[in-house]
Amino acid sequence: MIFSSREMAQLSRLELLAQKVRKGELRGEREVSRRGPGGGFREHRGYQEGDALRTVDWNVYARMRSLVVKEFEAEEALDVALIVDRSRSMRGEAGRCAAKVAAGLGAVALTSLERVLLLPAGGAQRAAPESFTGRARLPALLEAVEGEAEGPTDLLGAARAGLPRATRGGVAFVLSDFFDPAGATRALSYLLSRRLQVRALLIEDPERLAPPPPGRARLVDAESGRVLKIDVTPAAVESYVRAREARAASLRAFCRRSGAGFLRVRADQPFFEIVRAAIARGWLTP
Amino acid sequence: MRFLHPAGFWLALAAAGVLLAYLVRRRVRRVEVPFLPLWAAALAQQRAGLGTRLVRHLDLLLLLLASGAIAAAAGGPVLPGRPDTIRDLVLVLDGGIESRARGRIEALAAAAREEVARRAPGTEIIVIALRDDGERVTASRRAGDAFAAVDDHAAGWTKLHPGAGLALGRLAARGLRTPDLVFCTFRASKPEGFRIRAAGGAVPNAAFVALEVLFDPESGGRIARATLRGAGRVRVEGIFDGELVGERRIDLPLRRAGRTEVSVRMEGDAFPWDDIVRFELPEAAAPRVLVVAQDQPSPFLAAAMAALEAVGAIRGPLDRTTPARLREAVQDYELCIFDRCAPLEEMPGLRGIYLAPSGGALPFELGEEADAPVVFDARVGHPLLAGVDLVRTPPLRARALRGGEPLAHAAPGPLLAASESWVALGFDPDRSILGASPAYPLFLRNAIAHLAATARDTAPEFLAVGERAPVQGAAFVEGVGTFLLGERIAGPPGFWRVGERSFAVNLLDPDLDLAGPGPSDPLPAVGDPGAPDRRLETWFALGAIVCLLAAWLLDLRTWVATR
Repeated sequence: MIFSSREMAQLSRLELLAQKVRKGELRGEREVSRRGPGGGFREHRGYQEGDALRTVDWNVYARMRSLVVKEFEAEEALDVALIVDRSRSMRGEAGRCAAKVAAGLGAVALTSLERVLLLPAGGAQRAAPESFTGRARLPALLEAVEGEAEGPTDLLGAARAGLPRATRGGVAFVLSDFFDPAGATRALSYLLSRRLQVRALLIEDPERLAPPPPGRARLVDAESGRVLKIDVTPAAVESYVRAREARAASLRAFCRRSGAGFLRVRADQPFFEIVRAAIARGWLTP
Repeated sequence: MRFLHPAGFWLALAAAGVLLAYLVRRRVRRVEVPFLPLWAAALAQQRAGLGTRLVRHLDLLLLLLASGAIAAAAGGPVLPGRPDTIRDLVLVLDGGIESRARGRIEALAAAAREEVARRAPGTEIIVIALRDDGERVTASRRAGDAFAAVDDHAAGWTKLHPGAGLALGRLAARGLRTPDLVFCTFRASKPEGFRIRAAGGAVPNAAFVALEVLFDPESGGRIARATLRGAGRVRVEGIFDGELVGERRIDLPLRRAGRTEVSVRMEGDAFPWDDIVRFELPEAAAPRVLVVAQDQPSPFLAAAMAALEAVGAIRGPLDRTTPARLREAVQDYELCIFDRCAPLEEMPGLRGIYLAPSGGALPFELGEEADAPVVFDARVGHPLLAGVDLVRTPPLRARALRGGEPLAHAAPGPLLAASESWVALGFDPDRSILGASPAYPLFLRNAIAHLAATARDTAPEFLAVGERAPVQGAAFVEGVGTFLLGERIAGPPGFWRVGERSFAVNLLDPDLDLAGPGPSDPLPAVGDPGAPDRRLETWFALGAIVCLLAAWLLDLRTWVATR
């Protein structure tokens, strides 16, 4: 169990927070991109036999003398996809942070009676996507987010495997360090093409990302096993830090351009704060 | 187990430590990174330029330099100096007046022999001693005969005019191969310095072997007299070669019971230089005094003598005799007081106080007689007149004295005179205020003390150190001083300053050369004086430390920058 008793208490507080979200008390805290659920008007169409009279738009009839009916959005449960990076680069604190944040987000979603889809990316064996609905499935979700970090990062493969068909819309959280050899944004582009609202959480472990001590070093890639011999000098470290920041900035810029949310967090931050930040941004309310 | 070169061992160990440190530092560490492509740019940058690669290996370079420097230091590197090839020697022995002291010329000769022994085989050596006129007295000798030459000249006496300069301008140094000139002398012998002109510039190097001579017990220097003068003062006179060279007055501690040690330091004279002689002054016993009178001594004299006996100034019992019986009675007495009389015959060694002498075998002469003479010009500071004012005690009648040291004058001549063996008063104290004055016993006390101080001056005429000093039987304790070979001073020609002396060597300015201008075509100084080998291990060790420090600073900078 990755959650301590204190963190479990914090998880309960998140559920209370989720109830506020459901009641709409927190709706004003987010930026609304489209009409929400709850029987909102969609379009007019000609009256057909069998249509309920309460659907007829009498105002239009008064002006146009023609019967048209108002068509409303069908109320559907929201899909919350949690793509959790379990590659080797997420070993340690980053992986634990991703699992906890995913659990927290999932707990909030389940409390909101939304369907949660857990899509592990990486791992020893690609785990099948699991779907969770209802608060009763929260323990199962907590168990499912745990897993050994193995294999390379494959966010796109996880997204494709979990969302092969046309989705009904929803929110997709990508919790990763985005060290994806295929490209950090390819998975995000795919999710966006599925008309999902994408939230990218860049999780960085300061300890693992710190440059090695000065001197000769053989750098081994955690996922590919590739080796690079290098002299760790001030110039090399400066170049490395510059590349790291440029990568994060590039990801942020992509998200901004594509309307996706972006949050850069440190792995040693409390997961509760990270989930709160996500809620505050309205990420759990489509 | 021990090491012949322990320093080398430790330095080699340090070098091994440096290499070990480098190997540890250079050990390639395996570091797992989350995403290797982030380092690609850094690697590309490192592979980019030569400068970058050099900087990357700067620490290696520094450590290699440090190791090399340590290894070199362990090896004891020596920078070979320039050899002093073909350097002949002109050896000048100062056989001047000061060298007459026993042992000094031998010391000079020893120094000269040492200088000869220092030379390489085959060196041409000219040994020169100078007579009074500065004439060269010897021909050149080969190195093998140089010792004999030195000894030959050490046996003869020569004289250098002090302060006037040593004229070596005509010295036939031509033909020698860039000769060195070594001048063996006593520093003290040339109080004003001296000048040397040798072969008109052909002497590229000159050196002095100066002997610092303190008072040598074996020398012929003598203290002529060391005489107590009044309260706590002693007069010291030194005599050398028949000439009085100095008189020094020193403070003398008051004598107490037992023996008193006195140090006399003579300064500033040509000889000896800074000599110190120490001798002891035993407590002088009060002398036995014999009063000589034709009949009864005067009552004032009897009273004064009784007072002096009472205070211990003389040793009792007080005896009296007549001039006719003087020879028999004087044996047991240190001195006599002649009351208006004199010995009937000359008695050498007799010390006496003559009061109103009227004739006989006197050691002085009597002059004119005058009534009520006015006394003037009394040597009031003289020990004999301590507490005595003759000006205020005018006699009714007096007779002048001729001889000795006059101490009080009147119209006819001196009324008080003294020498080392007598004190004479030219009037009768009974017939003057002096007789009834308290100054009378004081005068007698002074006179007795004066004569007692020199009463035993029967030692040799001159007192050499180590002999007894004629100061109240003073015994010599210690003659401080022996030959001290001074630092060998060498350098290029020019003005030198050695201590408080100045020397001019091989100047080309004829105005400064008392010997007159030298040869019109002075030889150039072509000789290379050479240079000694220089040991460099200290510098290499310092270099190693600097390299290690730089490597450490480089590491520190890298560590700070990568944090």
